[in-house]
Amino acid sequence: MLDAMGAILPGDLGFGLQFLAIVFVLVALLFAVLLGALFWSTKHPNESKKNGLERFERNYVIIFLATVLVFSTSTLGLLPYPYAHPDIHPTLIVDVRAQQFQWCLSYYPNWGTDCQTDLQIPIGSIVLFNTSSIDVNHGFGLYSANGQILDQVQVMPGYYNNIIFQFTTSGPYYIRCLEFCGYGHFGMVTLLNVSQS
Amino acid sequence: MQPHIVQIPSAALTPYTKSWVRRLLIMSFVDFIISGTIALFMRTDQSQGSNLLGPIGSPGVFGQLETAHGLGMFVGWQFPFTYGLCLYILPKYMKRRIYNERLLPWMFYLFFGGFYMVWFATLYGFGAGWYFLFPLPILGGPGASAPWSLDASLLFFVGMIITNLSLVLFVVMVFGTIFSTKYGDLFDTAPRMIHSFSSRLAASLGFDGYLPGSVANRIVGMPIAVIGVMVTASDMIISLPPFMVLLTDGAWASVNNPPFLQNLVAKNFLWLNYHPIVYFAFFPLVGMYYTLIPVFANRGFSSSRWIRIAWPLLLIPAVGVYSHHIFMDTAQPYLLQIISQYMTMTVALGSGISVFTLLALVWRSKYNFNLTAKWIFAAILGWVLGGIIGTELGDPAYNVYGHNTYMTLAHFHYNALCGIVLAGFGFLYWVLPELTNRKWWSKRLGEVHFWGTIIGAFGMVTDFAIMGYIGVPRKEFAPVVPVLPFTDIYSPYLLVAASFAFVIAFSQLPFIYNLIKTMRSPPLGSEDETPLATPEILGEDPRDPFLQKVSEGSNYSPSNGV
Repeated sequence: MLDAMGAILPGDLGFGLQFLAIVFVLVALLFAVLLGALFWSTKHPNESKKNGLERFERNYVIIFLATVLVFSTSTLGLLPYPYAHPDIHPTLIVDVRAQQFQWCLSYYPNWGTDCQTDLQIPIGSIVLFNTSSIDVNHGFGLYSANGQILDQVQVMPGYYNNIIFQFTTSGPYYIRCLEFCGYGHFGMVTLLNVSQS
Repeated sequence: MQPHIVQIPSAALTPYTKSWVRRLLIMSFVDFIISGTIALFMRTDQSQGSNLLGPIGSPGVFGQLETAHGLGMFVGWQFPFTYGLCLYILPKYMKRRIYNERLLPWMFYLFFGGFYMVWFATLYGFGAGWYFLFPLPILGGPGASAPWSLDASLLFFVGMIITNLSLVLFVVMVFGTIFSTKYGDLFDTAPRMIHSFSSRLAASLGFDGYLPGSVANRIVGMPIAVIGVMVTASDMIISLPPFMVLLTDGAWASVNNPPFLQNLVAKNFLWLNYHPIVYFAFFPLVGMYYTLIPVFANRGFSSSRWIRIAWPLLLIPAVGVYSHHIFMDTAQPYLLQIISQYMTMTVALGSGISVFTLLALVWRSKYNFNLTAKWIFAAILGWVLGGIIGTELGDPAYNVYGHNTYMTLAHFHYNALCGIVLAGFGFLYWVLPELTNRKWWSKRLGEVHFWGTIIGAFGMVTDFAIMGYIGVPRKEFAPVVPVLPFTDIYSPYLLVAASFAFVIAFSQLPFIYNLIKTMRSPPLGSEDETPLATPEILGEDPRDPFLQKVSEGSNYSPSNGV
């Protein structure tokens, strides 16, 4: 499935964090195997005072360098910043005002006023969330109904931080503060609904 | 010349230096125990055990605990530990007395005076988190939602300023010891070598690994552990000025003035310092890996180039990566985000080179798995696991799914707890006999401490990683909230994390007992003697100025009484 920015995002394929978990497990297992081989090798030592693997160091570095460069460069098209994708035009703008310890979601241009307790979004909308805070830093975390993090952005006083997200599935979505903002932080949640109409 | 192992006390490690290093290390682990105990209450709160503990479980106290724990570990434990570690490394491996030893007590008392003010501020109500994002710390006055007072904020910021002044004294001692020409030793006078400041600077930061042989061979090589010290001191002092401006702004605003920094600038100044902080102990510990693994493997690095090449890759990005903490602020300049992304990958590259180089040396060696060697192996495992998650989070395209979740917590707990702290214990077991003239009282208690700690630490942090991958947010007093139906599944994972935290805690009891018994046992020599000097390996690097000074066949005890 294509996301709002015209690119495939892991989250859109349904395995955002799961994808990262699989990578973690695979690399950790690979390292565990290498560590096991290393222990085995110390039980079968040779008498050399030399580092036997040193001749592979240059090749290893080149492979590792290529891996991290490819990993990093391949995701440049997926950066979660609206200004990195000027061709994407939102179909709906939602104003988000954060304050200790509540959210005010409203339809543009009503930032900070006309707060909706049950904001409705038509399915398929490409939504720009226009966020700012009136007190301290908060984190706008968008969760699916089954608890998957779909998108997030920091909400900072004095600045507007924006994200774009395309809603392709109907149902409830949850917003939870993801930046420690004071003692009531844990209860700073709200809801929005995506429906067919 | 074949590498060989020698065990010769360094005269530069004077009784005076040893006494202060000893104090720093022991006090650092006292702070570690206190900070760890605080974490137990946090884990209990989050796993909803607070019902059993009554008044301890409240959102306000949780905020104070969280602040005290994070600062206790990253500052209260890490700073004095790193001071002690580095001020041991310099005289031990560079064979130079500490430049201006009289600064040692000043540094010690400044640090602990300042840091205990910080901890007292948390007792007094301050709970803005260990990375206190502006303007939360100063929204504590009457009428604001945060319940601590501006007095508590002022106490906090003044304490932090004093704490960081001790860092300046530390850096003076490090730079003075490495660069001063007052010593007149081989670093200053080795024949046919270049002795310019720039050549010494290059050698002390590992840049000589990139120079052509014709130049590099005329530069006196620095011991690899000293490079770790130099890199960490450089990063900290580079990142200190903006952080001090931030702290000054905090103190200024705490007396009812408006802050003079914009919030985004304040965020940048914070992370400019707070990212290098996580490497503060790590870099000199990596230097110790390079120093000790050859001793345990009984072989040297046949080329010094690869063990130096990684350091510049760690030096510059260690500060430059800071913006990856601000990946989720779209107001942050785009260019900084991209630079930070690639710098994060550069850190991964430097780490990867180091891990390969270290482990390759062990391949088919008669590796001596003594207690310190085990701690180091466990720490390298933590480094790698934390590095995998760090690489994932270091890309904004993926950071968007894991930022401020338990993934972040898992990343830095793998690196800090399962990496730095474990290596720190390994270092303490290795060096305490030399510093105190006492052998460890019980080898068995050391083993119990090791196995209990790694089971608890890796168990807890792996559970953190699982929680991260299912999207549990961090820094929540109550991650499970009724209005979010999907949060029910968090409960068992939170309980498992709390259980492993208690495993870690109980595993420290044999360590504490062993340490007390060791310190109360009679010493094997006077303060002027060093009967339990740790062994060193001398490689075949022809630039090593001490090679010709040491005779072969010195006695060798790899376990050093551990």
